[in-house]
Amino acid sequence: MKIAVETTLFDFFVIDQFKKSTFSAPNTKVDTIKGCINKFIEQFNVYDEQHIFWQPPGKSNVRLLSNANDFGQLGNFLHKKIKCNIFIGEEALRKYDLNICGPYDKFVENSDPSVKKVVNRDDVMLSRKCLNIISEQLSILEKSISKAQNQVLQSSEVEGKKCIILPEDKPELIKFFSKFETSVQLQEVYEGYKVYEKLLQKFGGQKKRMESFLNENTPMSGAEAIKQINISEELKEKGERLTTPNDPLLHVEVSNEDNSLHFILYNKTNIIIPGNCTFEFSSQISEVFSIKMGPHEIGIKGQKELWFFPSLPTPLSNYTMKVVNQDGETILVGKCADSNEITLKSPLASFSTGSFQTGSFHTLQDPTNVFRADALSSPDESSIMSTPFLGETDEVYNSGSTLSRPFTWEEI
Amino acid sequence: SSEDIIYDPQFKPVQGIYENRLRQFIDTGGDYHDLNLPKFYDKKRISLDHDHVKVWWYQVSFERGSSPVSPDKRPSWKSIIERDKKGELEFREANINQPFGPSWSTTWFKVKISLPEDWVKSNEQLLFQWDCSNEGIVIDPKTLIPVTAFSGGERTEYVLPKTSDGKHFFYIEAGNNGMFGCGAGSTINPPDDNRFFHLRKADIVWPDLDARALYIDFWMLGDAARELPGDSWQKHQARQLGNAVMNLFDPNDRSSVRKCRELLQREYFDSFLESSKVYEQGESQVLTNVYGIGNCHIDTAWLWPFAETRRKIVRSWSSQCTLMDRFPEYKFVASQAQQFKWLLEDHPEFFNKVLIPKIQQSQFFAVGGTWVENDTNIPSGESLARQFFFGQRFFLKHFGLKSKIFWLPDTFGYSSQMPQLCRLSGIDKFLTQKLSWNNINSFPHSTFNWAGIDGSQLLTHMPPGNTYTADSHFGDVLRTAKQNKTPEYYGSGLMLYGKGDGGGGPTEEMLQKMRRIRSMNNRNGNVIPKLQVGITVDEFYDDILKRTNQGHDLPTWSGELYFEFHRGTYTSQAQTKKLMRLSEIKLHDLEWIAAKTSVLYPDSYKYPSKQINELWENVLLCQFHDVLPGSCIEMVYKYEAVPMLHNVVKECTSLIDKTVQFLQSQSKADLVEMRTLTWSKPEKVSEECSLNGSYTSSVTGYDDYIVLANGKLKVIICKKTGVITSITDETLGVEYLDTEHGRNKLGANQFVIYDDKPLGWQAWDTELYSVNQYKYVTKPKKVQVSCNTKEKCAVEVIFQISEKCKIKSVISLNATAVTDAKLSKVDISTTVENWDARNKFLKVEFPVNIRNDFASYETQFGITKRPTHYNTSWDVAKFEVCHHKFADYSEYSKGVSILNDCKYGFSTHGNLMRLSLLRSPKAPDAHADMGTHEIKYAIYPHRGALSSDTVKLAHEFNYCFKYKLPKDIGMNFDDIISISGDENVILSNIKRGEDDSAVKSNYSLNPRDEQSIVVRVYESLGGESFASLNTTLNLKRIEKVDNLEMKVYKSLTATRDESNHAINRIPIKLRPFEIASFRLYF
Repeated sequence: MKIAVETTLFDFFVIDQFKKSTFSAPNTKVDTIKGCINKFIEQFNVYDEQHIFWQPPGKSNVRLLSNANDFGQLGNFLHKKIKCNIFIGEEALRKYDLNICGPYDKFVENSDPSVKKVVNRDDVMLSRKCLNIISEQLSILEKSISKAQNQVLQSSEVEGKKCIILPEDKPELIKFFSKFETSVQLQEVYEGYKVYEKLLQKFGGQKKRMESFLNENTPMSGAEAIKQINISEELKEKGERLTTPNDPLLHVEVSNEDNSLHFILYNKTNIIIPGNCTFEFSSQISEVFSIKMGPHEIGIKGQKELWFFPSLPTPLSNYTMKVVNQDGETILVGKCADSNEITLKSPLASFSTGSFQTGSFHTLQDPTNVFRADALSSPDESSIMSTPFLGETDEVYNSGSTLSRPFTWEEI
Repeated sequence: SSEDIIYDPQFKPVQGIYENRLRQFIDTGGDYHDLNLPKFYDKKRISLDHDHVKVWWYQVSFERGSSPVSPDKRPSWKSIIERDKKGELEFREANINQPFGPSWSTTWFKVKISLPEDWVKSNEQLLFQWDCSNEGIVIDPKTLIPVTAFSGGERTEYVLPKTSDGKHFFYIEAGNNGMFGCGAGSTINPPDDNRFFHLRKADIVWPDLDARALYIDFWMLGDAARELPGDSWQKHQARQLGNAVMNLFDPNDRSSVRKCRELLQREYFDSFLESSKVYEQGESQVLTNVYGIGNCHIDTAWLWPFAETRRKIVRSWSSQCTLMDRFPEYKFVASQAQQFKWLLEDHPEFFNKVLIPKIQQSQFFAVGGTWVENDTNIPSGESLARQFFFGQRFFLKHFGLKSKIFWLPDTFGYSSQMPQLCRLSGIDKFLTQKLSWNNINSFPHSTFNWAGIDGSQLLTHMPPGNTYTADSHFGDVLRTAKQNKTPEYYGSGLMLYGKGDGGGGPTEEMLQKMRRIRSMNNRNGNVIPKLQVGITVDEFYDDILKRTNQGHDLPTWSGELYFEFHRGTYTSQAQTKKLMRLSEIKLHDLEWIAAKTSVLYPDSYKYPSKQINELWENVLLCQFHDVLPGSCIEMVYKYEAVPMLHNVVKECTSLIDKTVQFLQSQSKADLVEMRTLTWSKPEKVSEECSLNGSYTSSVTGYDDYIVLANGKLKVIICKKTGVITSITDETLGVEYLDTEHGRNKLGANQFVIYDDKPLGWQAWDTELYSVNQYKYVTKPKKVQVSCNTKEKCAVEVIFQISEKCKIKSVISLNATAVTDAKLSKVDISTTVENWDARNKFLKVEFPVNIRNDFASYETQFGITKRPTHYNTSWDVAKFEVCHHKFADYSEYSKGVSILNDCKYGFSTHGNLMRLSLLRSPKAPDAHADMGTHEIKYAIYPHRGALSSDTVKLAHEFNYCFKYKLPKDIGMNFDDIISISGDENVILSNIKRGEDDSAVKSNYSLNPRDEQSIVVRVYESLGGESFASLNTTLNLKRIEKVDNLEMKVYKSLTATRDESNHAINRIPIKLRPFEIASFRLYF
């Protein structure tokens, strides 16, 4: 949706657990943005859901931590108004001339007056020292990001393949995506889309052939989706790869130790594997074995070790492994071959032709929308002791100590 | 110009004053607490008001004088909650300051909370705070799953789960004891059985998490200011910043808390100070000095009984599991299979639904490998082997993994055979810290290879912080970094954090403090140690290996890790030690007779595997490092350990008797008497022994002395003093006693009473100065011949020690076989009647005509040598040492062995051998060792140095039970398994293979339809040896296996000797002090 404005628009994006929206501000003055946000909240925040505001895509992704002190006035405002996390980039700050003012300005103002230089930008007064502090903290964050990005680049020569652009001229894709309503489902989309693309390639780009193939398997249950994956695996074994080596995935190493199976899960996906998932593995003939993965998420490039005991009487080959989220949805799936290294990918469970016929178009069609793999993983906030900083006294103490946070779009 | 003139002089801050000022800011007491940060810890608080917070209590019946450990004193949660639901229990309203008790009783509480509406709407973290100064646990009435525990003092808060209506209802089970029992005055004093615990707090709290977080920030900053070295800028900055915070703080403005935090975070911490991600920051190239591992040492019994430990376990571990949900980096280790077993028995829901997932998720780790954290001085070799056997098999069965680390932080010395026993049990790493308690010499290494007497090595780490209960203070981290004694090889150390001994474990505060410490390091560099949390103990040891050339670069410590402290524990609680020895022997005999019977009668005799394992579990439990050493409160011995061991002896005897009856029913042949030692031969059952071919014994009385003789030895007993003044080899005329050159000029079997007032730790310690503060017991009340037959002659000596206490000692000499080349022994049976001393130590001395720098003491499966001089402080420290069935002092041509049937303390210095008999400490058991004791020991003079004669004689002295079997079965028994070859190779134990399906063991991991026996053999004196296992079994295969009967080292072959009962001979070779297990399939 758009808010009527007079001149050049400055776009901001909002995502919540149901949808992604855009709103535009006529300028980047803080008060104007506040006004826009207020309107947005009044009109659309009927469910009191949590929102994430973030910069326009394509900019460097800098997260302003909500629980540390590098959190500007805009952030404070947003945080006070609604419970949300703030993601805003340095590029955005520069581009939109958006100044932020640290909550400790008063203290800073009392510091050495000789170095005090006031920068006048719009209606925000900011001391040079304050700006320096913010810059310093931003550079720390940027350093972390570039470190992460470097690692990505080192591990992947074709960074571009981690990005997917959904062109506007593919309505079936838009329909396909529009079916998904939760952030968890959206996580699966990325993987699903890649499989779609590969499948399309397998069918020589002929959608009808592909749809025909898919219709034979519709409606597709979870088990059938796994079967589908198995077929894919078989094709893979025959050297007909459905995926590229750079596909994001959950890499699982399995080993036997004493009477246990030891799994090390390396998160090489672009998403944070949420907490409270279940790790399952089963052969077609035997029961399903499962391990609760615990409340802690696996961050991007993070890992988790799991143990299963007693070990199985037969080797794990031909077992299907899954990661199931707390809603019972399979978010990653893969099949063991003879190797002790297995890759789990997003399943085809939602990838039925039925999905093309329902749902409505929304902002995912944005042709500039890029799935990025370089986002910072977020600190696990489950044990954060103090409330997020608001920057000014809050008489109501209305901030929760923890923030349940959906993924940022960049993280997806 | 006037602008350059400043009339505002500044002073230089006085560092000490500014540093001391920092304490004010977070001091909850003192004059200014309401003008400092504590003012803001809570936003709101409501104490027990019977409106928002309601509490009811129910006292479990506790009859004074009855057993405080009987099951009715600690009813199950289920029974209480179900009975309450039915309205069968009278819960009454509780009030603040109401007392609950007495000691060791149980009180149940019901708590109902209705949170105020604005609290609920706040959506913030809310707490229930409970302090009854006793131990309690919160139980969800619907699931019976515990959530968290209270200990009074440091653990009082329960984070209330979020509810839409603000209503909460739960039970609290409270044990009326503190974390460290109920000691009167001091924790290690005998308990006050009439202690009551007052309900101090039952509050709901809306905490100000920012103020509480600033508390942690400031605490760590203040510690940095106090503890960092004076030449570091970080120290001065911390102090100045702390003062700046105090200046900024406004007690009338809550928002100033945030300003303070912002200042601190900007100047001294990084951005991740409250996140697990803090451990991913900083320079990866910089050495990590300190690795933090959470643990919670729960003494299986100590100042509380086993019965209370069962509750401590669930209290401690439930709190830890809850903490794991909040701190992803948190990893926690717990040892002792027994404790896991109790948890499974008492709280299967928690075990399966909470604990197992935490193990699966790599946050909770079972370590140690033993049944309990056992004493390693006193248990027999077979007991130590079974500690690992049952411990590791339990872990494998329930957690799929055995421990790679022998975890024993708190035991009073480490036997020289532990490295080998560990290696045989799948363990190659070891952790302890107890040697940091040495009170004479400082142990020189933090990380090293510990080599046992056979050469087996364990990679060993002793946490440089010298504790297993670190509070994760800044100082704990700093000490771990600075006190590392092997920085040349490995400069990092483990910090074991978590409340312990009485359980508890880490707290949220500890985890927060560690994040701050790491954050300070990330920001300020390595003057502040780099602390890492989140790795496992295995990973830590792997890091040692990686950085020390797989351990090859590390220094080596050979032999026992003698603990220079707690030397009294070899002797305290004599009855328990005696019963332990007896239990071990009875179990040996039971397995010996049951295994052989099951081999001979596989279809009609059922090997009592389950009963045997249960009996072993009880024996192993009583070997816990406070129980067997004698440092527990009276209740543990009176109501638990002693009855338990009595029962072991009784059950073993009963099972043996049943087996003997079964065997007697299988044959009508004449009965023979069998002993359970492989070199013993069946003896005829007769009323009197035949003396054909024997020297008879004789006694001759003179005015001043009595002479006992048996053709080999002549023993002279002085009538005036009641002691043995001479023992001579009748053939060679060699004198074995020396009453001229040492401080004992009286003779052997001389009782001595030492003053025994250690600096503290009465039950544990006997001190160096006591060695020279003693009185000889002289002037016997009576010295008389008590037996004068051809088979045996004896003299009885009686001393009156006090009005009630007297010592009766019978010195005897038996007839001996002419053909037996070895000398005879002098048997002594001493009864101490009504021992009623206070802080005295009774020993018996033997001045011997021997000179050597070292004496030998039997240890598990071998001997340990200790100095007989005081050359260095390390030698002095060993003024009292541990031994098993014998101590031997030999020179090239002769020697003397002192055998015993129930004693463990000994010392040999100069020409004096001293066997420790009884102590009389008054804490923590006020009645320790009081009463009557019977002790048997013997003097065995021998020609030449220590030999297998002593080893075998000591076995015979202990394994003295004879079983009457039909002769033909007895012969078959002998044929089932025997050993020949070098005499120093001892076949110590026989049992059935644990995984034989026919045995139906509850510890079987992989039952197979096979029949096998497992035979344990060891080399006893320290030399490569060759022997042959002989069996008439129809062998299918033979394997040399590990102690767990799982790993096969190699397969062996047998040669069949058809000419001799079709015996299979299996040649074996043992290195010095090797312990070897062979599994024979038939």
